[in-house]
Amino acid sequence: MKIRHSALVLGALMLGTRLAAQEPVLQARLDAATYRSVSVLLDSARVAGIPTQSLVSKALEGASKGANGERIVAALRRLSGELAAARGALGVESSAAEIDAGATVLHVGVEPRQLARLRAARPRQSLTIPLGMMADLVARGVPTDSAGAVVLALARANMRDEDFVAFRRNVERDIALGAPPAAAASVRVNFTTRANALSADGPQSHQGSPPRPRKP
Amino acid sequence: MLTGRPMRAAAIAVAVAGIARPVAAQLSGVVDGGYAHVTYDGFLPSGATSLSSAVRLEDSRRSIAARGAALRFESGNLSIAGTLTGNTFTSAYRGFRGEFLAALGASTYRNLPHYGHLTGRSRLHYSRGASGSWVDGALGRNYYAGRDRSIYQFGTGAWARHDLGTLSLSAMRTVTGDTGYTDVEAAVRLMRRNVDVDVSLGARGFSSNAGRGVFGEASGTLWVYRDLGIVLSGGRYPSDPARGSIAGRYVSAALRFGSRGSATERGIQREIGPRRPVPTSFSAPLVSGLEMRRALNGWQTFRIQAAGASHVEMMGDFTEWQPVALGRAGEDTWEVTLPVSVGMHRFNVRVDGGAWTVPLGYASQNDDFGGISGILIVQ
Repeated sequence: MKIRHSALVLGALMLGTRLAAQEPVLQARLDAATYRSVSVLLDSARVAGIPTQSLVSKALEGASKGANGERIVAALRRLSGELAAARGALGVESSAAEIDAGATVLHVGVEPRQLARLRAARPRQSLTIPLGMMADLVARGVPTDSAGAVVLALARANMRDEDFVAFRRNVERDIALGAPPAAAASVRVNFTTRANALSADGPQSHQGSPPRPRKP
Repeated sequence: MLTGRPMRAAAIAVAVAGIARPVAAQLSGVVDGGYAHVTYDGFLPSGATSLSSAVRLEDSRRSIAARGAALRFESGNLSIAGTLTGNTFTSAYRGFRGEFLAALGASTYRNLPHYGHLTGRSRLHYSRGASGSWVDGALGRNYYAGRDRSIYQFGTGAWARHDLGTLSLSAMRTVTGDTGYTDVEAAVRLMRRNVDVDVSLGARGFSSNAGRGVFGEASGTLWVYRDLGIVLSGGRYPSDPARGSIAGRYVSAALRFGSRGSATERGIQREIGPRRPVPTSFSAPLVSGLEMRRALNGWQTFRIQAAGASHVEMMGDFTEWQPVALGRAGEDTWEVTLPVSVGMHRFNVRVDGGAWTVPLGYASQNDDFGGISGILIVQ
């Protein structure tokens, strides 16, 4: 009991130290009432094991964009929930960057179970880039279930981060050329995974000129 | 606000109305549906399905008209525009006739901020026989991304009718914000049997931030039935800073349902052309590109294309959301090198102190603060 109490005190002291490190930038850019509310939210997040860096960043974004305190706090509450959900889906051992990317993906409408599947498909490698790519695809108009399936297929094919980045670049180009987003992602993933399966040397970056998807 | 060909058509219609007998109010409408291939300045070519309609209620002294146009591009993006106009004019006195017009319009494209404009116009017509002329002036405001600006226009024109058709000439000076330009345009409208042909040729000069050059459009309508026509059109049109549209080229084919020769049909002519999806550079120079390349020790160099910009800033989670000014690295090119870690980041750029936005080509998401932020993946 005594040990647990000491650990809590030590944890609180560490949290206090971290908060103090964040205070100058937050305090300088938020009004006093908003700063107090944000501080409470950050404390709660720390207690729940949620990384606070993205919460601080969201507060600063709101301040720079002229949002009022109420709106900033509401945005942080929403983000806090998404971070918690992302952490739950990705696992408590996930890095802050992964959880942040996971929260972004949840924000655009992807289901938590798709994050869990992605973690299962890539248990030891970072998911930051794949999750970022998933968010990017959805933001470009690829339906959330399609984006999830595409990223999962690439992860199961043992694609490296640079392959994900190359894939996203190719899809982006196809969409710019007029391909419907879902078709662009689908055609590209078929090509990429097939090429990967045929490669005797394992995963490679595919930035060549495969057949472009047809226009609708 | 009526500009270009619709304005000219309206001017001629009103002048002709001035010498016509009063008639009972009548309602007319036109619907066009078709396909266009468009190339907007700063964009890749794209196909688009288009749907536009106009309805007009008028008598010999006044009219009110509503127009709407929608384009759906191959990418699935949608561009929508609508206008509501009304006018009334005075009795004729020795060939002179006054007219007052008001116009309200708005447009939206994808995730860019909405655009709107409101104008009032006074015009003095003089007509004699089968020819006439006019002078006019307009005041208005337009709105884009939280900023509104004044619109000032003044112009003059002349027209002449012949058995073969109508010829018109016009010159219009427009000033809005820090943008000013003068368009001079000649247009011919021919109506023979079941074929209508519209051809226009113009030039833009005395321009500040609105470009210069020659533009022209041609359109032909084959009326296969009394109320059904096939419309083929194409050409290049200039930007319209007052209404928030960029320059572009297009070819299009459409089916037209409506009354041939009605004021509605004449006025919709340019509306059926592809709606221009993004605001012009007058209020927020277009950020048409952002390149990112790796510098030393985890730093990234960002190079932004922003034609006509005088000040470009960037901010993101990697700057603690503090605006960072970019340095000029060439004509329309701006550059900055910043420390950015591997992973996913969110960011915005802005030009000349305007709204925070996302460069074309970058994915964006709702930022929870009424705007958008871009997604950046650094590997």
